[in-house]
Amino acid sequence: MKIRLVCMLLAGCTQQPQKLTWSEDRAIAGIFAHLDQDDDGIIQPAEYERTAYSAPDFHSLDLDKSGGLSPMEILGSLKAQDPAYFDQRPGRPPVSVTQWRKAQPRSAAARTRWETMRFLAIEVETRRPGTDVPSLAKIEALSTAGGDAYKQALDQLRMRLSQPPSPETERQ
Amino acid sequence: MNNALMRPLLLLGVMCMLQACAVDAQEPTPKPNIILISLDTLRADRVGGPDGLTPNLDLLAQESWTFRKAYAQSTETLFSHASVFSGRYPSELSTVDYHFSYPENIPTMAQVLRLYGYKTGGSVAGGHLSPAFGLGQGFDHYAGPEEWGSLWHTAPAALGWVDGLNNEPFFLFLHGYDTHSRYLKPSPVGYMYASMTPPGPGQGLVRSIHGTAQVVDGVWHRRRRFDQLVQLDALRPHSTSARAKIQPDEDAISLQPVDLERIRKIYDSSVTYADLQIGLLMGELEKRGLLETTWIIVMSDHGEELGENGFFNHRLHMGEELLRVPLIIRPPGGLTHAQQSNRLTGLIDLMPTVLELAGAQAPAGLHGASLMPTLRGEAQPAPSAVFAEGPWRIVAAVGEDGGLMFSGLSAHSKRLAQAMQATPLTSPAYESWGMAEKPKLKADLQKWRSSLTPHTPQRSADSEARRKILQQRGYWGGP
Repeated sequence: MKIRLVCMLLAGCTQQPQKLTWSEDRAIAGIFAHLDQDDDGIIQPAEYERTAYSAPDFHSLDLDKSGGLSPMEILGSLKAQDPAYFDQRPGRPPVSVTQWRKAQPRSAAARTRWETMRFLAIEVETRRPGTDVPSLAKIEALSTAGGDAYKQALDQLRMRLSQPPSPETERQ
Repeated sequence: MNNALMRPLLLLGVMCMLQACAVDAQEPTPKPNIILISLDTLRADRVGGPDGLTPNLDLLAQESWTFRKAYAQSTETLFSHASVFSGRYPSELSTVDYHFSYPENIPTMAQVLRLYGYKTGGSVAGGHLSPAFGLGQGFDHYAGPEEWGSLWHTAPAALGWVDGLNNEPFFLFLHGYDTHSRYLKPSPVGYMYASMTPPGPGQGLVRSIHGTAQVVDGVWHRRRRFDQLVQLDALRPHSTSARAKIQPDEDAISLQPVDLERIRKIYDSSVTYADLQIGLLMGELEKRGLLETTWIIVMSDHGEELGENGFFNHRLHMGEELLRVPLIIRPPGGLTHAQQSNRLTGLIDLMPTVLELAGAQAPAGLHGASLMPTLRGEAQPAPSAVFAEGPWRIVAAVGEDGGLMFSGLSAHSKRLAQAMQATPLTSPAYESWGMAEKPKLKADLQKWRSSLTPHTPQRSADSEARRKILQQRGYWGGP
């Protein structure tokens, strides 16, 4: 709520529309208002320490040695900290397509076969509980190999799906 | 003549026609600059909300149009941006999986703008916007100073590029992963909404690269990679049955509600961090006098689940929290009063909108509609639905008051048609949310499917050569 009030004031929420101007003061105002819990216009050591995680030392940021941090000192700290490395975290490597593709390892044709059979198997499992369906490993093997064995297994699933549901399933 | 030869010639033909239009246009007024800013993984409900997470974006909205019902066309960075750049749905461009490669025969927004005299620059934060996927097509400059970086990295680089221009009109695409995992940002922002006490596993989780993606139903599976979780059921990774197969190992950690809440709050602080970068950028643009001559568009490519469905992720599911995105458009000089549109809008509308802003002719085959009538304050009919496609074969339709999705089925799958035949919809592949009229939405989805032009699966020799070069440079796993 406090941030919104500050922003409304900064934006000049008066009767007359006012042209905005953008500045560093304005950019940091919302964050500063949130941190400045006692509204005294500075961030005191206790207020700073409350959220300081892997952060620069308070006194190193207090450039004017006033005992409190101003909006510009807070902003200076944020500008100086690289968000990719600020807490000694390792850098994040480029996307490895090899790695991402591991989740989708099949050829396009095999993947389509796999998805078709898996889809039918789930439909059969849901609509005809208790009916045998190929295991995940079997689906993997059949769809990778393709051919007649795959087609036969697919036909069986279709046939099971076309059979009338049991009265129990029907009630569900 | 075979297809391989025809496609480049057709593209050349289209480009020549567009060029001719560009020359004929002879616009007397200077072309406006256009800056498209993508805040990756920013949920719409975090912007302009009662918690005041985004004071700078809220200020921007005061002199802009805000589209409150804007939806992304994918929940994955790569496909969502490819759709924005092309005005087409992801499956019209390439396979909607990590074999994706942007097709050379489909013009991008940047490509068309360049024909109209624009300098085109992309300052991107790597990851799935790596040039390896072909998204740099049409940019004079397309680079990222830091992998998985922030606007902290990309905005100064972008301003450096702008400063090097010679008063030419420019199109700048600026991107940052500020609100993407890992969420924790530098102090004092990182913990400004979350308590650091009591210490708990949530603190390590928000720092780790894969941490949030490894959380399923309140358990952090530290040894499992995200793709291993998906492999449990690649058709329905989000389903209850898939989750039941996840066996916690001895390294798995059960998270307490306080940990989960801490993750959400730290995500929120990453939103405020991104917002700060926007405020600083606006100041820099104002210093350069660019706010009077530049359209500024702020969007996100998708949202993020924050535990709503047991996950902290954006690739496995579709729903309001993942598909609805912020979209703010500020004209040069800004509006005197904030304007809001409740028109159902897709990010797919951005390509025709941006081209119209630039006075450029849009290529054929676009799906969206220019938002210029709305931006001029005119009534504009809304589509009855917008659509999305995800990397694990998920398709969704979103209407005025809700949506529906099918998982494990691509938009082009005959099985999707079969699954939609039942009334009411009972396929296990089906889920819905909200109050939307589902039979109508189902009909819309059917109509949309038939409007799609499937991509051409073959990759050109050039594309393969490009892939090899990029691999040698260390992209895609490299040599």
